[in-house]
Amino acid sequence: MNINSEKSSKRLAQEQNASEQQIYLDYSATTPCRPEVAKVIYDSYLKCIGNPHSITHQYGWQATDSVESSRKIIGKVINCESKELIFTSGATESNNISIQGIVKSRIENGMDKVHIITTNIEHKATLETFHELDKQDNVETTYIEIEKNGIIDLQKLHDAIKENTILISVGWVNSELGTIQPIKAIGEMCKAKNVFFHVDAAQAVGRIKIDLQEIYVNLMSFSAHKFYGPKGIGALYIKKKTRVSPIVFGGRQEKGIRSGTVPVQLCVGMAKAAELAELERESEWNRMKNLQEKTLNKIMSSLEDIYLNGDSEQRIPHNMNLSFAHIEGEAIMMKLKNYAMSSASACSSTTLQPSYVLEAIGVDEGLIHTSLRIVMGIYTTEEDMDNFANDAIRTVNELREMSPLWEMKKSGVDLKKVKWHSHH
Amino acid sequence: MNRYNEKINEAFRNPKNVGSMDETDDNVGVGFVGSPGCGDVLKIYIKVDDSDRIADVKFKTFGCGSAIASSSVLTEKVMGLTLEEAKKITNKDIADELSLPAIKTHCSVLAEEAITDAIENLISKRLIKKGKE
Repeated sequence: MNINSEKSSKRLAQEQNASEQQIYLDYSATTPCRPEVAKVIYDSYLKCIGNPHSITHQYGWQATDSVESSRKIIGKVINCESKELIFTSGATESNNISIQGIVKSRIENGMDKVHIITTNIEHKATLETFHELDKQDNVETTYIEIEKNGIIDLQKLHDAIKENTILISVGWVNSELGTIQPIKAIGEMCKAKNVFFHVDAAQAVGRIKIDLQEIYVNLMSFSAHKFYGPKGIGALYIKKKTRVSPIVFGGRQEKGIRSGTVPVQLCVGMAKAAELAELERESEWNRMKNLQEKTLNKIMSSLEDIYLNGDSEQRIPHNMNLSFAHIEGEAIMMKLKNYAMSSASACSSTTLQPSYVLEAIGVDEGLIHTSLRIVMGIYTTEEDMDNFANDAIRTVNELREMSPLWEMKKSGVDLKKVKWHSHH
Repeated sequence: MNRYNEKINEAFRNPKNVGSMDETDDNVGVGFVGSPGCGDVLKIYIKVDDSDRIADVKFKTFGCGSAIASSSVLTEKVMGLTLEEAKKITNKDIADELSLPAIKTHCSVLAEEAITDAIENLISKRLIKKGKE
C-alpha cells in the first residue's frame, strides 16, 4: 500500500477490486487502517522516539505533546474535555476498567453488596466481565432481556434498578445486529436514579453522532480499529467526579487508572482516524442508507423468506444482518467466496455454538444457522453492492435447489410441525 | 467460513447426485436425518434394481460446506453397491476421503446415519408391502 497516496480511499478500493482479493464486508469486525492514518503513524515513529512518561528530556516532552494533542483531537470529536479521556488498549480493556473499576471503587467505599445491570446481547468484553464478577459474593448481576427487534425495553431496565444498583452498562450500537440503543433516555434514567452509566461505543464512532454534552454518561469505551484507526489502542471517557479504581498497576500512567507506557504513535493514529471518521460521518450515513436500501430491495424482491434481523429503523445502515431461510450460512459464504463476511451459524464458529445475540432476541433456532452479517464501510462501492446482491441471489437459488427444507416448504409442508430425528 | 482443504471445496462446489426421487416408488428408500435447529438436514434417496444393487442415488442437504461435501461423497461411494455393501460404509470412510477437520466429524456421522436410514426405509417398505399381500 502506498501510504503517500493522496486519494488513498479510492485507491485502496481500486486495488481491492483489481486483485483477486475478497470484497471486504465485515466492517464491524474491524476496519482497514486508512492510508492517511498509517502515514501519520509512520511519520511519528520516525520523528518521535521518546516515552511520554520521561519528563527529564526533550524526547519525552515531545512524546507527551503528541499524546496530549491526540487526546485533545479525540475529545473534540466526542465533545468532552481531554482530561476526561484515558488511552487504553481497546474497548475490551475500557469495558473491563469501567465495570470492574466501578465495582471495586464502590466496595472499597464500604458497600457490602453491589448490583450491576447489563443486557443479554452485549459484546463478550462486557458479558464475560459480568460473568467473572458474578463469582464474587458481594456482586449481584442482572442481564436485561432485549426485545425481538434488538432494542432494550426502558421499562424493563427501570424495573430492574434496585437500592444497591451502582452501574448500568449498555452497548450503543450492537456489533452483530447494528441496532442503536436509546442511550440518551437510559442516561437520564441513570442520572435520576443516581446510577453510574457505562456505554460501549466501539461500534458508534463515525457512524452516529457522539456528543457527550448532550447525553448523561459516566464512562464510554472506544476502539480505534473500528473506525479505520490502528489496532491495539482505544480510549475510555471518564466523566469528572466518576471514581474508578484501577485494575492494572504499574507506573501510574493515565491518572493511575491505566498503568503502562502510552503508545504514542497509536494515539496519533487514533486521533487522525477519529477526526476523519467524524468528518465523513453524515455523508457516509447517507451513502450507506442508500446502499442498504438498494441492496435489500434487490435481494428481497428477488427472493422469498429473507429476514432482516434487528430493527429496520433503529439501526446503523452499514449493517445488514440477514437470515436466508432454508440454507446454511457457512455454505452461503463458501459460495460467495469473493466476499468477506461473517455468519451467525454454528458451523462457521470454532465452538459450533450459534450466535448468542440472535438467540437472545428470539430468532428461530433454525433461522440462526441461515444468517449472515454483512457490514459495509467507507471503501464499499455501489458496484460492490450491486455485484453482491446479484451474486447473493444466484447463490441462494442454487443452494435452495439443493435444500430438502426448501423443497418441503415449496410442496406445502409446515416445517414447524415436522418431527426431526437428530442425535446432536 | 472455515479454511477448508481443496477436496472439501471441490466436493462442495461441484456436488454429485443432487436431486430427489419419487418417494412412493417401491424400489426407492429415503433417508432423512438431522434438524434445522442443529444446522444440518440430510435427505438421501436410493433406488435399487432387481438384484438389490443401488442403481441410482440422489441427495438434498441443508447444511454447511462440509455437510454438503460429505453428502456428495456418500452418494458417490454407495452408487452401484448392494444394500449389504452400502450398510458397511462408515462415517470414517467419508471423513477420510475428504480429510474432514475434526470439528466437522459430525457431518460424516450424519451421512452414515442417512444411508442407514435409507436402507431401513427401503426394507420396512418391503415388509409392509409383503404384509399387505
